[in-house]
Amino acid sequence: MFIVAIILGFLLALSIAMYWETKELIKSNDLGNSEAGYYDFADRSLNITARRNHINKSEISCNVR
Amino acid sequence: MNNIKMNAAGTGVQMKCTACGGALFFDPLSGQMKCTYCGRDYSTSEVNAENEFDTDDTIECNVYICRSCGAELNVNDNECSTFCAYCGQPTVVFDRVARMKKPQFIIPFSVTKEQAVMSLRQKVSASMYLPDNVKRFTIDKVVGIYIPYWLYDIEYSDSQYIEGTIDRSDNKTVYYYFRAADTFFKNITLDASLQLDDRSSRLLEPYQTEQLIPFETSYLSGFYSDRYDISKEDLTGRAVERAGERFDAALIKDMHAADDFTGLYVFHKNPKYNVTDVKYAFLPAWFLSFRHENKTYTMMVNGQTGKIVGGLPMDMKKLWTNIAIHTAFLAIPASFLFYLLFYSIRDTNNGYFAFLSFPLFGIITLLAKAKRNLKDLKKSQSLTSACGLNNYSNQR
Repeated sequence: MFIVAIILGFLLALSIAMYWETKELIKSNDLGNSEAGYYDFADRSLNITARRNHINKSEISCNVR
Repeated sequence: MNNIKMNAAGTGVQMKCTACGGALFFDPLSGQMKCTYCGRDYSTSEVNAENEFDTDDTIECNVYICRSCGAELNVNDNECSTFCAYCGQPTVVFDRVARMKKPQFIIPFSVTKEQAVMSLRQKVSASMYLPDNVKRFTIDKVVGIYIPYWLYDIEYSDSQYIEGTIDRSDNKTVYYYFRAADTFFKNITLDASLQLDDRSSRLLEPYQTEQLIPFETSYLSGFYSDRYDISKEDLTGRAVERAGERFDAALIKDMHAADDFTGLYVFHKNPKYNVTDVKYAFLPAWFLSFRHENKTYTMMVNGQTGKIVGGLPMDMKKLWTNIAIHTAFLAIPASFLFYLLFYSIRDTNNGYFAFLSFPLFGIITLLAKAKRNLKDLKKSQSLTSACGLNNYSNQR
């Protein structure tokens, strides 16, 4: 029980450290990748013309066909 | 990419100071033409009026070929090209005088060479994982390049059926939704050069296209430029695809505002689009190259916003040392915690298996994420390294 706890503890610590450090590595060495690639321009002018919630499945199969 | 430079021998355009005869270059700080000798400022329209090069829709330029990576370099000012802007090698030779199509619009450089170098230095000095000699790096080459872009205006509409899953306290419900919307995308930017990898140009974005101004040849002075080698027709599909991506993302965002979905799936769509206008424009970027362990790294800086793009080399020793230190600190309390938990469930049947599965799942997930992070960085480094750029030029 003691040995299993140590192994598990070590593996969990290693995986947390690896995840954390590689995340920091990406932040400091992978320049530009984490920032927005382009403007979210659609949000500004998206004009929703029809909005229907909780519609019947039978109605959909009719329309989709 | 095809960069062009007017040389001092009389080929191409020479912009000279009327007071002292010195060469004029575009100064990103003042936004005016500056004489390199007497420092006198000229407005770009004044310089264009003095010269005849803006009379038709083409510009004459000198084309240089890089023997190392195959890039074509077009040079637009009073100097000759002596090295390749892409791979950093001094292997360029003069090839021909050519005429390139003049773009309709341009975003002039507003970030100076010094500012670009300074912001890269700041990023580099803040990095914990760089090899020590890279922290004291000397920039080999800094080149300002105008990258050719097609800018698309697209009217886009779609009607979608969406399946939404809501998961509330063991009660999983699936609902169906209908959304119809339309929008107008102005200036979707797509780089028109084969030489520059699409991922690189996409990372360089966003450009603030509201600052586009009509093109004047004088803006090219002091910089390289490129001419398009992918036609606007060839890129229309990608522009529409991008419009579709942004449209879908906005619609999904609207759905999330309506309810707390755990899953959303668009199972039917009916997109319609109309490309209303396509513009040809030059957008600015700095290419900074430095060497590390006999390898050339080229970082890119958006010449308008100063955004830096590229993967810096990493010191694996530093990375593993940090991981070892953190593991050592975390392992003792984690092991102690596991021991206490094991001790508390020692009398329950089947408790161990259920108990073990959770941390094992967590460990495997975290390790997979760490591996993906490393893979992402390698991908970015391949964009930055000269070999990566060589590959792109081989596509020509």
